[in-house]
Amino acid sequence: MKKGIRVAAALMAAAMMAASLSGCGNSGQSVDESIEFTEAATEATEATEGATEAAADDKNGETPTDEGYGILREASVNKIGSLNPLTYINSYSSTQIKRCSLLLYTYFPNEDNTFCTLSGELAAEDPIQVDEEGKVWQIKLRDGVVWENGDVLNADDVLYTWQMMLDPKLANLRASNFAKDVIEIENALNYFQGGCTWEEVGLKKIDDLTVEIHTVSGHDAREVMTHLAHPANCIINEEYYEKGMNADRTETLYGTSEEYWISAGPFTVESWTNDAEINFKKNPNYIFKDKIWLAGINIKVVEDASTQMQLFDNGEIDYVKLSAENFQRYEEDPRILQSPSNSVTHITINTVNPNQPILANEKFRQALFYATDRQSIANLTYNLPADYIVPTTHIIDLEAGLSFRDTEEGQANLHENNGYDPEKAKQLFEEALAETGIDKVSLTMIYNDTAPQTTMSEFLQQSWPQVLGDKFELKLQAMPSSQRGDLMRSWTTKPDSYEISWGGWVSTDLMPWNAFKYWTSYYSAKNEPYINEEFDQVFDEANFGTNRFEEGVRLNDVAKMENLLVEPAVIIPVIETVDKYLKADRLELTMKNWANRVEWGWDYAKIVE
Amino acid sequence: MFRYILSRIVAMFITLFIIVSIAFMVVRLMPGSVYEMGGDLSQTVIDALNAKYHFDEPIIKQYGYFLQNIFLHWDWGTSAKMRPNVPVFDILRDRIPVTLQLNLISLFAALPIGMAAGIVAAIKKNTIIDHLVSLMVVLFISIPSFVFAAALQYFLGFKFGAFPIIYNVSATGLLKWQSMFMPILALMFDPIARVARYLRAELAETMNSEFMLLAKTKGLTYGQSTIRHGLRNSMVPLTNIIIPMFANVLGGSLVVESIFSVPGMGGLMVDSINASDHMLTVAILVFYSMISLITVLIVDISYGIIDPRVRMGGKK
Repeated sequence: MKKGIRVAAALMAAAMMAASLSGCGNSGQSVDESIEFTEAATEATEATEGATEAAADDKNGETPTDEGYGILREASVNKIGSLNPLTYINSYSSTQIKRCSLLLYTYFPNEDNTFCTLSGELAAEDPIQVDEEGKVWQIKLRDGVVWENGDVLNADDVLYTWQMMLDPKLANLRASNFAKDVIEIENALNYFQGGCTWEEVGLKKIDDLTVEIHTVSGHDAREVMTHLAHPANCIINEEYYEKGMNADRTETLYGTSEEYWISAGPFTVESWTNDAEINFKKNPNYIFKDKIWLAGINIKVVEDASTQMQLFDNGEIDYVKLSAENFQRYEEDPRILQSPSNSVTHITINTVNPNQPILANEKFRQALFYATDRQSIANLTYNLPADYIVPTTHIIDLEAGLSFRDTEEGQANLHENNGYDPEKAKQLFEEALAETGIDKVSLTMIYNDTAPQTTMSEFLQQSWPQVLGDKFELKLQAMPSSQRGDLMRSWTTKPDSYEISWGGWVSTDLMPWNAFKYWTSYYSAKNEPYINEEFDQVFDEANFGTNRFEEGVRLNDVAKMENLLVEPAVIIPVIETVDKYLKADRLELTMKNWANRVEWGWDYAKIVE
Repeated sequence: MFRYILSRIVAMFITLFIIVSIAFMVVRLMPGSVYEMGGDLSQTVIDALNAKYHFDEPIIKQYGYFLQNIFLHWDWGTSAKMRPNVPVFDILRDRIPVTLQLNLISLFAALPIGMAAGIVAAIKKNTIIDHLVSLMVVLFISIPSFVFAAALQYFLGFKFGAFPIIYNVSATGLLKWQSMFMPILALMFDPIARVARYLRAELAETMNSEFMLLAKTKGLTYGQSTIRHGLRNSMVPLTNIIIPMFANVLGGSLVVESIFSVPGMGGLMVDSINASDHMLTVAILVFYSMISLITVLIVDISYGIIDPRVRMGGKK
């Protein structure tokens, strides 16, 4: 009996130890999803429109205070992983990094909260062109900017960030995007590969409040600003970066926990439990603190969609992203917000698969294009039918806020009935069979085991044979996203890795000409074996050509690149995705509508109890 | 006994080494590269990262670096994707306490309930009470824990507001215990049923033994004979299922943790495989293997401690 008591006591002690262990073992993160840009397209809901009128008598006051008012509560399926801007993995992380970091240039809501504007955050003004060719640019920094702990933030921090970004030993994930994307910095890639010294790189400190950038080609100020507005270019803190550095200087723990993080952006990190929860607090030292009404943001990681809905219905979070099923329930709800997701979902075709030579036949691919009933798929998934590649959100003229899709050239690339023409599809299919000498086609489509791709794939499995006849068969194979991605990208070494699948790139909405980089022959992670010299030339002209600033050049180039991809059905666009959110009444948006880059402006919202 | 334990420990480390080697090879030979993420990474960066972590070298050389780092520096590598640059065992260290807490508490709470149900069912064999316990056992075993979890969350959390809908990592004191209640409860049903079913069968069989008859003829009451002889003899076989239950404690529960947003071990393995975070995957496999091997060792040794009839290695 005594032995039994001892055993029970030992068990209880173990339980108490376990309880205390986990009590002090908090760690984690949080999340949700990043939306993305578009033109000032989507109309605000009634709730949003009426929001600003009620502002006068709320606890927010007439202007934002240093402390702010109210906590924005979010739930997210994503996890942050790291707040280090040089190594972050996913776009959700970059959204959180921007919340607590400074960029030289960033996107703010414009004066009347209807669109975005690109302007200096740490930079005091637009870049100053130093030479005639537009290859040397100076950037003046704001005076008096400080880190969360009061330390001065100046040109030394900017240069340190750039040097660490390109450090060959650290081999940061975001190095090459900084070295060459919208602009190419002189010798940056060379330094990254160990080919030259830091002094030879085209990044200089002129004085404590001025830095200088030397580029390989000539650019305009907007291109320089756009390049530097990328979230990977958030300024890092030398003291904390070095504090987390390992002995051989190949890795740093910067941004992986509260201990290795310091903020300078709109919010500071008040507490952070990795993979579970993060609390942001308004930064009273932030340069544009007058734009921030909120006292803070609380984000919880909630992976289960139905749990998120319960939290929203219970008033525990302020907005929730809706699945197609939930959207059905709330379709008429005035609190619904729609956000274009800046991506067109398309069918990717492996034209070099030796087991399916018919995929290389243009008429066969066109048959699939015309056999695709986009409107029905859009109705099923609550998205927009798309027979185009450039999303409606992509702006061709930033000053005028003009969407490419609204231009004459953009309209010319559209097809009647969203490109659905069963008769033409059947005719093209028969011609393709005759040309290739193949009697019957049986294709396998690989897709993610998630709701939208399952719905779309199953629809095509039924509808394509109905259009093309019994000589066509579509088989489906579901798999996890990462496995599918690996298979698709391995076509270079294993040409039969897949036949057809789904694709969709989230790209630079304010520079649609840059968004076509995924189909250039030199893009590293190509999903499909499309290599076209003419396409490369047009891309290079639009992005680096000397005449690219002339009126209409880029517009024509974008239209031509889209045409080069769609007409021979290199890929088959199907839908433009639209994210749907349900917003709580206590959350008052200051944005009057959805806008590129700032979206619904969650960070600029108010809490009205 | 000491030599036996020592030999088992040596065998355990040899087994662990083989598991580590197989885990490393299997994970590294999975299709796809760690850094081919389909995003904006240029080939220059991918090449630099592959060179930095030796992913561009033959797998046998990679294995050499892996062992060298472990034996010389006790360095198991860092996470590449889930939490870039964070040592893999630091990630486990953050996750384990939460899982350990929930699962241990649920197990310790389930054991007395399961045992009580089993004893009552055995004593009241073939009565309505026995049938009700059997029905409960069937329900608890056949209905997956996530169904209970979802139902608890919806009714107790959402509809009645009796408990927080999700686990609250930042809460302290009573609030923390409140937010832990539903995940603990959801995890309790299965062990309750297993213990009750097993103990009922064992105790019912023991009660019909001849030595129980002898105990009663010696003058012991029904209660005395049941507790002193019946229960004690039924407890030894119960060890067979209780100790392995502890091995599962650290594994966490993928779905229950996901439903209640518990940042535990449950989904870590799946997430790391999906993210091609190879070093983290290997570390998790090693961790689970270690726990399983230790559990097997403890079970074997515990037989000798609990039941004096058992002799290690055939020695008297």
